[in-house]
Amino acid sequence: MTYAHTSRNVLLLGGLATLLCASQLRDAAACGCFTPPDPSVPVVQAGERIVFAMQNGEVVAHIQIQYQGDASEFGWLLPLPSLPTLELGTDELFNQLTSQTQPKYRLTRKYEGNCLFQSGRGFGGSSSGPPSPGGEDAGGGGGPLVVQGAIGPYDYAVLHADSKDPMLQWLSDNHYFVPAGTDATVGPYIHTGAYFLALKLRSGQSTGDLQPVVVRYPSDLPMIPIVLTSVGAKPHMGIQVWMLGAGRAIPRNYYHTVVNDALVDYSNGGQNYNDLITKAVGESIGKHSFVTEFAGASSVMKNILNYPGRFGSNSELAAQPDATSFVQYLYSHGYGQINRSQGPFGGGVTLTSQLIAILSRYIPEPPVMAQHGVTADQWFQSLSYYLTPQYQQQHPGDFAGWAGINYQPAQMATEIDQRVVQPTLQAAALFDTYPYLTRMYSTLSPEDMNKDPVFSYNAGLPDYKNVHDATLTYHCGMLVPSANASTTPATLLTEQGWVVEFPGGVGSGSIAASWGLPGSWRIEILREEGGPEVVTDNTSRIRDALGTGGCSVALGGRTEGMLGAAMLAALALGLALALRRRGE
Amino acid sequence: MRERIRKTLAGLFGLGLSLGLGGCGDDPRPPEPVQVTLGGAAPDGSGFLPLQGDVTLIPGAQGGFHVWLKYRTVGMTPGPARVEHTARRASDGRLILTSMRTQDIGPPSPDGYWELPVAIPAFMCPAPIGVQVRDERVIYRVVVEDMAGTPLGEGEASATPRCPTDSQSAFCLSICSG
Repeated sequence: MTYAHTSRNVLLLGGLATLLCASQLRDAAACGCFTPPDPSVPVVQAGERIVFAMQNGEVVAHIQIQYQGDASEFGWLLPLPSLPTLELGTDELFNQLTSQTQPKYRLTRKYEGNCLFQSGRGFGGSSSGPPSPGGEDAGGGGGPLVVQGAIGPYDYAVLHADSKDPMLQWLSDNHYFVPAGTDATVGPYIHTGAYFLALKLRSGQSTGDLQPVVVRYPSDLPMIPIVLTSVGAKPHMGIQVWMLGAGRAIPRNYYHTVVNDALVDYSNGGQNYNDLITKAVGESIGKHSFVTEFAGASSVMKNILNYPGRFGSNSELAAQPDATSFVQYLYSHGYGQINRSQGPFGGGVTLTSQLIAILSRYIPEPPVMAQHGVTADQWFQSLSYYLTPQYQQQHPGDFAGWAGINYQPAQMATEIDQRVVQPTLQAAALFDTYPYLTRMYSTLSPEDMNKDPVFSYNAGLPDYKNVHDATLTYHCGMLVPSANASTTPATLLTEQGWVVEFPGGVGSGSIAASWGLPGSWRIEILREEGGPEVVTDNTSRIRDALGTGGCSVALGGRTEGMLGAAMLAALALGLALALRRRGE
Repeated sequence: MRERIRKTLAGLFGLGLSLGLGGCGDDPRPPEPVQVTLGGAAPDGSGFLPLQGDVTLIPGAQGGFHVWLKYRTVGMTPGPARVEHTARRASDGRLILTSMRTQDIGPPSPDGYWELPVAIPAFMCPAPIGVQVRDERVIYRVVVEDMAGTPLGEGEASATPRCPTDSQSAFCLSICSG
């Protein structure tokens, strides 16, 4: 499907194009090329990351708690419709889900004619990185204590939210941190029969101990209390939602945006993705819209968290004779996390922050080594080396002030089982229970966080893949070769069928259409039955903009190229006429 | 002649056999459908009330509003069943909610029916985009199926959800208007 048909007039006449390419030979120069581990993966900054599963009137929410700051000031509040059950989750669920369902924008380059730059060396691309933390929750409201206790690194309390002031007072009296501004936003969550879950870090726990929580509560549909989140949110905060169920999930009260893929910067694997999402969802009413990033079988996560043989045996772990063998057992039995974002053979295994936090209480890293930049992960990875008498004799200064090892294998193994193994296996079971996985994303700024998004399902909607392909075709000269990829006329054909012309070459910047185009191709309403209801269709706007004049192409491209071609054509025509007259 | 008599007797025997078997076999009539009576509940979710007229939207899930649903069944074999409940706007049939649950149906009470022990909060608001839920007549429907998905019975009721008039009123109006 092609919505724009500019292309062929770029080259006008084959011979002139050859002349044009010949004139570009002088510009041939090496471009800055580097190859990231996976350049087709855009960086996404997600502030809220939640996995929802729905079954039998019960919502299961795995919520990643993202916090940067002092442990003593950590506080987390979640409004709930009923008395919840609380369990520990695992960061690895989010990391692996992110990796397995991440949108990828791949560019295939084709070469027409004689392209000297074709051999091997591409250009463009930049490193990709994992999503990093964003905002956090806040809240308040209610009545007396319902229940309190401790789980993993947290002290928690469930409070009645019948009225605001007593609840906030209780939280304050009991040293639960309540962010400023909570008072003003908590109103909608205060009513008879409502509850709030409050978390704080237990004494002696660090922010490295923070781990996701799993909350179960009866409800027909899952909702994100984003109004409350606005208290601690940043501009354009990412909201990443995975929904597990029997079919594809939809935003119930938010719009659904299909992004205009002509604006994806293919030169860098879609590194402008987050900006594009912000632009695209910002075009919907209230800026309330989600983009579907993946919809398909949940089997993409099969055996990712619980691959055969993982975790070995807890009794074997507890029986390890010393700290070195204990840590080695963790590495060799998959207690760490395989970094799949760096490809099937790269990345290695890293310990999660929870695992490091637990180990560090028993096998602390010498403070001097930490000061010298040895990370906790490096300390544990090379523990057998650092603990050799030779190393300690050669580097006594590294161990100055070190408390030494307090090796408690049984206690350590139990703690690891409770905090790491069981939450991971429980998360893995999600993908056996629920056959379908949907990933949605949006960005919202605090001033737009005035409607809580609710999610539902429409099993009749089709799958949506997360890998997107585009093709960039270079139009090189036939007789005189083109030597410079950045100045060779090229055509980008996107997956959605847009044709973007670069008559003067793609240059060294982005390979995308002009940012002035709409960010959204379509804005739709997805309902629980039937197909999408299109609210805004930008097809003609995009097609017209890309259409014939090349206005959407970066300046310095088509206009100059066509001018040069026309001048060369005039010159050739003049010469031909002159020769003909002489001949006469 | 003898042969003709034999054939006649055989035919009569066959007829009699088929008639006899037909009379002694399973009742060919379809089973009686399960009677399902759909109702509501008090604001705190207790009791069983008729679902009709105006019903006040109940604050619920994390800032949303719902209507309580309860149902009674008569003639249902105790055991697990699939129960689908839907809510549609009466004016245009717009779907407001659909949900499927598994429910263990218990034995009937001395009054002859089994009643859902805990009311279901049927999620109404935030409403789907463009679908006003408040002040609109809504048709609620419950379909009880066996675990293979065969419908056994259904119940229907309609009511008009109204926003509460307390401090939640403005918020309710904002999120239940579509």
